[in-house]
Amino acid sequence: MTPIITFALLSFFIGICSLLVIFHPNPVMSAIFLVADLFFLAGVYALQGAHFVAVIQIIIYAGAIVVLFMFVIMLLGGGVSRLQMKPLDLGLLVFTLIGLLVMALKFYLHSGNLPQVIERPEGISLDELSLALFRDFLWPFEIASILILAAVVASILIAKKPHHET
Amino acid sequence: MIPHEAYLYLAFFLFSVGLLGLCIRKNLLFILMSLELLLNAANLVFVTGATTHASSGGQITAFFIMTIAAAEAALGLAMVIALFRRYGSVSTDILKQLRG
Repeated sequence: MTPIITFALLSFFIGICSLLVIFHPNPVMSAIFLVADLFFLAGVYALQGAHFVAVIQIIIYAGAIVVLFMFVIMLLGGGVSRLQMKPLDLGLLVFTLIGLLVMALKFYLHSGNLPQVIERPEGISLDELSLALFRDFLWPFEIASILILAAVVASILIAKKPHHET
Repeated sequence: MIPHEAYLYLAFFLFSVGLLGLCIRKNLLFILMSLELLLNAANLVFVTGATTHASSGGQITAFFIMTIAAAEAALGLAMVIALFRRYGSVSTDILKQLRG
């Protein structure tokens, strides 16, 4: 299969799945379509030669984040499975559409003078990636661990029962 | 060979869908899932940039975005649980106390 056909199939499925994520009435199905969406996106990353990002996408997103979503949906039970749409806020919608249109137009006008593509079909090697992560980006990496720790502590504090209810 | 603009158009579409979901849904869980779609669109742009310039910075940034997405999902879902415990619903209709 040529890369073009693979990309076309992947982007078709990404489009379908992402639309189903936001329009499906049932949150469980919506989370499953989110998993499918993330898998197809991992395929797109692999197509670009970013194999490690593809693997990490599947492990972290599909394996951890969406499982967390599923867990919360199951915890909240059936009370949430109704199609609840906002009454369409016309001002907000028009504002968003104009913003997206301006973005698309600007992108279309500038797409002729995008920077020169450096062809490296084999992709970026894992050696190079790990060297960059642990040498050039060492401080952001360490700070990210502190961020995760703070998020864990904060989410336990937010989600636990208040004292007077126990 | 796939033109690199195609990836950017795909990311643009994904971002638009996420923004639409953010605008039209009332359920807080769907709003969090739309946020994941938005972060994935940003990720796709970063990885495309890394491939285009043959440099590893974009992929590293994608890792950090995933880290932040995990933290954001944990905190957001904790808030959803707290709201559900207090009000018995996860619709945005209940969040009216700060409306001026």
